Order: sequence, then structure tokens, then C-alpha cells
Amino acid sequence: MENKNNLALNIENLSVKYKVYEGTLEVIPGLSMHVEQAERVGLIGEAGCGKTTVLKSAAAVLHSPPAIVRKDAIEVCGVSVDGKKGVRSVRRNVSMIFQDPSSSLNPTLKISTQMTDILKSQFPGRKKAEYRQMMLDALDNVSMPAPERVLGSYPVQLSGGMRQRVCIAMALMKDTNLMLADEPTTALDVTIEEQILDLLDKLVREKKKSLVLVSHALGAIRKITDRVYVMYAGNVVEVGKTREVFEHPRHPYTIGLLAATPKLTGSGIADGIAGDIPSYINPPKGCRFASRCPRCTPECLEAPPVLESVDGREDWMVACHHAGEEAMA
Amino acid sequence: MSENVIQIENLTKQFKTKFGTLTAVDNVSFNIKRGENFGLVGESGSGKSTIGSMIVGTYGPTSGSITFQDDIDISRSSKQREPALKQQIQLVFQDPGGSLNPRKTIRQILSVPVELYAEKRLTTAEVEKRIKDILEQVGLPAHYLDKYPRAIGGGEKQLVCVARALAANPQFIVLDEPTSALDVSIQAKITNKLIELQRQNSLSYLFITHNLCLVRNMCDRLAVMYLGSICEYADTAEFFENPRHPYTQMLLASIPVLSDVEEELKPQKVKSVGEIPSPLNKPKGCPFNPRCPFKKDICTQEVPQMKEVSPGHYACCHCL
Repeated sequence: MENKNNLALNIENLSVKYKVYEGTLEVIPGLSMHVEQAERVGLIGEAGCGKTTVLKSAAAVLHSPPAIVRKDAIEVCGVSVDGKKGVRSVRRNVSMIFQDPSSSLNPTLKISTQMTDILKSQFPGRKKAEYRQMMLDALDNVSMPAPERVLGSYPVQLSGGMRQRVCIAMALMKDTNLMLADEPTTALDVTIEEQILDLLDKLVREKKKSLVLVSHALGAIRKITDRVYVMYAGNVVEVGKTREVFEHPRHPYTIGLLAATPKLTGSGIADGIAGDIPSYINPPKGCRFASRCPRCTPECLEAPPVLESVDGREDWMVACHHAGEEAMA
Repeated sequence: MSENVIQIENLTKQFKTKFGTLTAVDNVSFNIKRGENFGLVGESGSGKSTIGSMIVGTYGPTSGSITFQDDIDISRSSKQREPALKQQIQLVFQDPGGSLNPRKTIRQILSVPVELYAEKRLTTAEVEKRIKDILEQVGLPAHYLDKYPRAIGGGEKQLVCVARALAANPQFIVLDEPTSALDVSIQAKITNKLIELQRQNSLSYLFITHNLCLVRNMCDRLAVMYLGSICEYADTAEFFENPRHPYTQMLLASIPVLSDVEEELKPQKVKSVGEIPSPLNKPKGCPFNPRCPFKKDICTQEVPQMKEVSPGHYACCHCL
């Protein structure tokens, strides 16, 4: 990290706990990540590993309580997200796309009303016709068929793919630096998913935006991101260039995850990873992956591993006590 | 012994809705051989689950026939079927959480099919032994019997659902998206278990899914559905090497893959465009024509017929 002010997003030592009826869930013990300007970063991990919690803390939309957030810093474009001023800065600099396009649009308002609301906050005091033209341009940007009709429709009248296009158009209308996308294609069919991913890829490149794409679909991450963070049970276990990590994963969890994904080559399916994510109430003292790990040794049960660079490289880090060892068969 | 477990001919299912008649399945024919794992692939709303529901008898078809083991007609809802038949055909649902009764223990859940489908009245000890056998078969420890579904993980819940289907001692199981609600690492375990169980018990499967990569690694043959009709059907290896229908090419081309090796296996020329139309308002002629890059005049006029493009490989397109 050369100059921190140049980062689109900088999270240092974030820890999040949730107070629930059963006790305290220690979801994220201490996580750091950064996104550079015009960089596209992926965040992968399975259900319940804390991906969305990280994203919500970055966008300052995490409800507290029940969440208890401790951190050294969360900065969006060099401005801390704390306090009223910080939140206002986040609102200006961050736009977000959610997983389920049908629940992130208001079902009782027409698309045009919802889009105008954003425009009014961003460009106050313009004429109605101007707003309308801006909306049409925005919809055109996301290759929406029949934008005029869409503006006059309610969300239920649109298909899933069209709704997600509307959400992306709305996220792009705000001239923000950082775009956070939380599983934007999970609810969509595969042919529609490809169109939406291509669209996101194109727009983010064209407008030189930074993107954080959260997903459990490994293929989607590989398709449109430069760098990837692999998360397991609230920890980042591996960071690196997406292509490199996917080709030669180093952490046993990443290896297992990639092997378990069915391939087009028809080479059969590896046996997956035995066991489940550990409970977040009193999580294991050492490595959180230890109970499922083929390389587990007594050392792993004692101390949690920290992120260390691989082969002396700055841009590839793995959190494993046995990172140097070659993958076991 | 008969060769086909399930034979489906000209099957059509229509639902009457407020907005008109919805043809969920439109004139579909295929067969599932004994001991085969047959994949049924399609995007949402393509009618794949409707076919599964008709086979297990949730409802009967509007027209056409389903034949079980070459001579038993099962084209009606399960209420009108022979009780012995119900045992032969079982179902595993997509959402394991929603398909297990949260107020019953695993023992209670599994004892129902064991007692119901036993040839004679079983003693408590016999039932217990049978339940433990089945649980061991799916690879769960015996102490799980006293747990409630909420106390075990999603993958384990799905294994209980599989165990419940096996408890009836069936010939044929319809698997309706059995792994799509699960994480990848758990999905692998379940699919491998399913393959193992199939070999051990000489079962036949209808595997309904939208995940083509999974079908590639699991099924012997597959059919691809689009808007209620089958557009291509072939052996798995042949299908992935040589997809013929424009829709299947588009489907294959849009799979996000994990390596360059896989990237090269995808058909390159077809780009995904357009949206899936509503099944209430199907296009005239070939259902795929509004999205098809090779569209001709005839495609908007006539519904194409299924053609055998090479031995055992069928596709439904005017261009072939």
C-alpha cells in the first residue's frame, strides 16, 4: 500500500460481533482489506462466512446493535466512515447493488418515481423533462430494452434480469467512485447472469470505477475481478491476483473449494470438504479451518495463523501455518 | 427385466391461471433407462420440475402418457395410483430445511416410510435396525437419530431427506435440485454420496438441475428444456462435445468457469442475448426464435420437430 489516500476502500483490523439470544457471535475477529482506484476486487466464501457483514460495514449500513463493530479504520476514498460527516461521505461515494432485485426496489412505486428520488438528491432543482432524459440515458446505459415502458412500470411487471438492470442503472446514476455488489447475479438464470456480468464489467471499466464483487459463484468472480479475497468463517484466508489464485490455490480451504466445484471437463467431483463452519459462539482458539483441514497439526489448534506473503511476493498472501507445503493429494 | 424405468410420450401439462392457460410442459417425450442417471436441465420456468412432479404424481398430465417399467401406466395423480407404486417412486426436494418436519426427530421422520412400506408389521426393534442401516448407508452417525432437523447442518439435512427416500426401498428417485441450496464444498459430498447409493441399490435417477457442470460430472444422459419443450437430448459426453441446438450452445457459452482449459471447451460463437419470455405468452413457432442468432422465416411460423442428428443425439431446430 503506497498512498492510503489513493485507496477507494481501506479497511483495517475490522472486528464485528453480534449480540444474540444464545450469546455473542464473534463473526469477524480482525479483517483488513483494501481496494485501489479503478480496481475490481472479488470477495468469495460460502454461506455465513461474513462476506455481507464486511460489505455492510464498508457502506456504513450495518445495524448496531445487534452488531458491535470495532476497527482501526474504515475509509472510503480517504474519508473515515465514522460520524455524521463520514456517513454523508459514504452516501456520496458508494453505491450498492443487492442480491435480490425484487426486494431492493419498492414494490409500491413506479420505477420512474424511484429513480427520480435518487436524481433529486444528486442533482437538485432540475426540470422534470431533464430528469426524465437522465433516467432514459441511465437505462440505455444498461442496455435495457424498451426504457420508456420500464419507467412507467412497477417492479412486479419486470423480469428478474430487468429488475437487476434497473438496480445497476440506479447504482450508476450516482456518480460514485466505489461500487459494492452483493451477489448481483445469484438470483438470475445463467444466460441472464452472463449478460449482467458482462454489463457490470463493461461499465466499471468504462467509468473507471472501483468494484467490490461479493459472491459464492467462483466463476463469476474469475470472470470480472483482478484481485480476490477468499474468506472462511470471518477471516481472510487467501488474497491474490484472481487468475493466479484460481490456478494455484495455496490455502487448503481454497484448494478444497476449487476442487469441489464441478468442472466442464467432466473430470468427476472431488469429495468436498468434510464438516461445517464452526459455531461463531466461542469459536476455536486457533485456526478456524482446523477442524476440516487435511493439514491440521497441534500448532493449528493453538494459534490463529496470520496472513503472510507467498514466495516473498507482496500481492499474494495466505493465512496458514503450512502455507509453504505443497498441496496434498 | 424391462429396459426403461420411465417412458414419457407426448406429455403436456397446462395450468389454468387468472391470466390464461399456461402450458408448463409442451409435448415432451423421453425415456429413462434402468440404472441410469438422467439429467433434466433448464432455466427457471422451463417446466423441468413440472415433469418431476408428474412422475411422482403430485398431479396428472393434461395429455400424453408416463409409463413405469414398460407396462405400468402412471399418467395420473398419485391418489389414483396403486399403493405399491408409490413406494417405487420417491422424491427429494430442493430445500432440505423446508421438507423436514421441524417438530419431529430424525428417528420419527425415518420411521414413517419404514413402517408404511414394510411387507409385514414390524416390531420396534426391527424398525430401529432398518433406520440405523439406512442412516449408515447415507453416512450419518447413529446418534443423529434423536436430533431435530434444526440441530444439524444443511448438507446433513439433505442426507436425511435422501435417507427418507431410500427408506421406502424405491426403484426410481426424482431429485429436484437436491444441491442448489447448499454450499459448493457440501454439494460435492452429497452428489458423490448419491452416485454411490445409486450403484449400491441399483437405482435410477431423474436429476433435475440448472447446473450444467454438475450434470457433466454426474449424469449418463441429459435433456435440455426451454419454455416447456425439450430442445436437445443426448449422451452427456456427446452433448458437451458437440452441442447442436443454438439455445444449448448459448447456455454452455454462458457458464462462468474456473480455468482456461474449461474456457476452451465452451462453444464460442453464440453470445447470450434477450430474456426468457413468459410461458403465458410464448412466441409463435420455435419457442427460442426471439433470442436465436440463426433465426429464419420458418422459425416464426412452425414448431420444429425433434430430429436425430447422430445416433442417440436428438435436437429440435429448423436449422439442422
